[in-house]
Amino acid sequence: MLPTTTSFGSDTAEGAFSPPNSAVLELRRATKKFGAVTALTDVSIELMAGECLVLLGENGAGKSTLVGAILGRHPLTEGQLLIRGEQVEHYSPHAARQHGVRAVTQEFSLCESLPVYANLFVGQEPQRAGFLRKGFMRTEARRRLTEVDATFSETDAVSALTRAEQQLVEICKAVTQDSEPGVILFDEPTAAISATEAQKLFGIIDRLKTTGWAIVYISHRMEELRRVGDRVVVLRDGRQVSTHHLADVDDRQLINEMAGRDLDTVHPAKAQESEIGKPVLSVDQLATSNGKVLDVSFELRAGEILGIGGLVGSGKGDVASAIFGLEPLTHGKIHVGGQPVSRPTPRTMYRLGFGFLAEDRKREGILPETSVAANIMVERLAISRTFSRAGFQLKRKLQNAASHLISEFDVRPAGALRMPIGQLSGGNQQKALVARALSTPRKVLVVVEPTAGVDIGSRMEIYRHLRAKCQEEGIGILLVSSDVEELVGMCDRVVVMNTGRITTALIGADITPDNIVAASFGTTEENH
Amino acid sequence: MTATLSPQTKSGVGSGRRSMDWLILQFGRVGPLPLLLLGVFVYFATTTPTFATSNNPTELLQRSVFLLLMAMGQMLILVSGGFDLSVAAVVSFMSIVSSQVMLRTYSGSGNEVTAVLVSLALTLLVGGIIGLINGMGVALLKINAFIVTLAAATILGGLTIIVSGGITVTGLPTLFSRVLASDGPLGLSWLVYLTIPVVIAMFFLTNNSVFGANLYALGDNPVAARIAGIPVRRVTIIAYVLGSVLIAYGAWLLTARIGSGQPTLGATYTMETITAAVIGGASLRGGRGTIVGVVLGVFFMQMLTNGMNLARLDANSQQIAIGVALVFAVLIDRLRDRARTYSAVQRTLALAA
Repeated sequence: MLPTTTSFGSDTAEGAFSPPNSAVLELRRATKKFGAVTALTDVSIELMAGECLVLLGENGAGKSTLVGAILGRHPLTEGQLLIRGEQVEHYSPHAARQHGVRAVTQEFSLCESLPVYANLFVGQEPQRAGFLRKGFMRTEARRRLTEVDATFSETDAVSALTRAEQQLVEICKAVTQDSEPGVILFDEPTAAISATEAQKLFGIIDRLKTTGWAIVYISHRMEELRRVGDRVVVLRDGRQVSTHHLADVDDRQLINEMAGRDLDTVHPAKAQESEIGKPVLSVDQLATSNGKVLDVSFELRAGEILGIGGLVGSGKGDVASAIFGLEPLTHGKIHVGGQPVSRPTPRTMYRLGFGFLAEDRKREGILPETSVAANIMVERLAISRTFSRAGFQLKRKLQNAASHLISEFDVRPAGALRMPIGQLSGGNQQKALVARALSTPRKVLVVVEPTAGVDIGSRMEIYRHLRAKCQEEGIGILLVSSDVEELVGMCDRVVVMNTGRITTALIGADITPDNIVAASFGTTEENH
Repeated sequence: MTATLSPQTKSGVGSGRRSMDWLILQFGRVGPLPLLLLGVFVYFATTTPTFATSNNPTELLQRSVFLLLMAMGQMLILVSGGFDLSVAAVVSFMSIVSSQVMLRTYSGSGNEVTAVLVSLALTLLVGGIIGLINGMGVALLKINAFIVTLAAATILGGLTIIVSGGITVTGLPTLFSRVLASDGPLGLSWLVYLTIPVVIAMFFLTNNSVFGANLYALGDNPVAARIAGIPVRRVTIIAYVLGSVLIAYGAWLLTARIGSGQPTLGATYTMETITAAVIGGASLRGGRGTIVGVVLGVFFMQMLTNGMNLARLDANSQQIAIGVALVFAVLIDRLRDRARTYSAVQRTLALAA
């Protein structure tokens, strides 16, 4: 069968779809047990055509299990699964695909070295007499890419695209594999893309809704849930706490339902001018050999949080990498406490009292098969002499320090000390890495996307720890983030980067989402 | 309704499942080797009458020391994320060099002890230099370990022939050629006593040293290890140096056992060390492998080989059996991974519940 019809229907989109009252997929009293343990208890949801259902819950609340059930990866222990009103007996990943259930997860399923058009047809290449119809594939791919306003070519290799662009390819692949709209599931789709790219994504999701797709949307970011969502299901400890229309409920209530307790405001108070001290890190006309950083200068002072904002590809993450010597410098100087650093490496910077949380959790962060405890302690064991004597580990001391950090940062499961960290959920891996980064620095802490994939309760904890580090120990923090709310809520100053340069510096009341977003495009009034 | 769910699972069905879970947990912890060892032993003990008598632990130990030392060296390098294809070449090269040096020192000084000690020191030193060159090629020049160690093997192969002229070195001091391989206390060969301390030292080095922790981190994820402040180049080079020193030491003991320096010694050891380490749970992707695993892996291979010898299996069939064993070991290890994941998930959920 040739997938010729598009499901975006931008040409047929004038509200052609009938009112959203038919459930595409329904779970009734779904319970899922793994062995003796119940991961999901008595959950009932309806995924309506033309509607976006948001799943909300902390890490470990059962979202992944529920998603697994929808995608057919976890057969239900009890309860029913209905598709378009009919009960499906032997539901499997294959059956899910057949019924039009798709997912756009954080792990893309793309063949990196193949061109975009080949990726769109993987597994169902159009052929004639055994030969690929490449011309057709390319035209068709071109058409679909135009529908999502893609600015890249269908012949580009996927590996040459940005993450946001790859996500577009993933979406095109998911929704155009057959003609009938089904269910499409987005798992934290904005985790690694910029605010503008996210806006574009929301537009695409809106269009999917008008053409009759049922959307399942998972994210920890409230403002974005309100932008795309219609209804919300709150999960906690594998149970369905509530179901609301998003319009009828405020953030505070949702957060409290998720956490099962009353939480204070998300961001702690900012620094007083009197708490801010001397410059601890100054960076002068930095340029990196990969061309991502062209000219960046700033000073970070003791006791403040300085934010770096900007689009993905603006070079903001590369500044952090450059400070730790991961990107060679072609120009510029780094001074720490007034002393120049000639050849930075992670090791020299740690010795100077730095701490670092790198951007890419999987590639740059975790040692997947190594225990959680060792992952948390690896840096201090390698750098300081506190946890070793004559080259041998002080195992008891390491264990104690690790288990202390695990409980302080609420890494779950609580007994995870000896588990390989790769077996933890992404959010908990992130918490462990934050624990590692925050436990080391004496002068400067550089964190890149510190709350990626972390639930709201843990995020607040991380924010609290960051601010405490600043206030109590007088550490200067460089916070690189794509999350505009995070920059606004946490930073005492924010610089915004655009194509390798700092274009705007914001301070105090000028740190607003609008100003940051505008500056990311280089469209501020000061800058035209 | 929901409240009744968990008590149900805890009674009745629960206990059977729990003991199953316990078995899975233990399998994940210790792996398949103890069982396999036992299986091989029982099989040959019942089918081959001479096996149980000739295969007592002492015999097994004595036959295993050479491969054990070399496989530990190979494992260190495997854990770092590389591998060493030069084992066999190092063995024959070291056999020639150590025996020629010993012969010369002996004829110069006339003192057996001096000759043996000088030879040992030089063997370890040269082994270390070979490892240093391999390690620098991998860590500093960033050449693939396959290429670096293949080149080393080729070069050493040529050198061995040039240095030896293709001739066996005989006339070694009897302290080396007779006494070392003779029995010491408890009826164990001195070779065993010269190996056990090394095994113990390696156990503590891998489990308890900072170097050990850094080595496993490096093999697990080199990029993240560097970002965590581990001196990855230094750790890589040390792994190759230590690895080659162990291999050279094994070659020295093997030369003592044979009693002469041989330019063709140990041709099969490259693949045997990799096989033993992998059977013992090391991974070719780095980051995994334990000394206990290697010890069991070596014993397993020796027992299998010995059993097949006694059962009068020809060499070709033996090769086939070892190959099959290797593939099975890896497959079973994958099962073990799944067992560990399963246990971890159970624990996670149990704690979450």
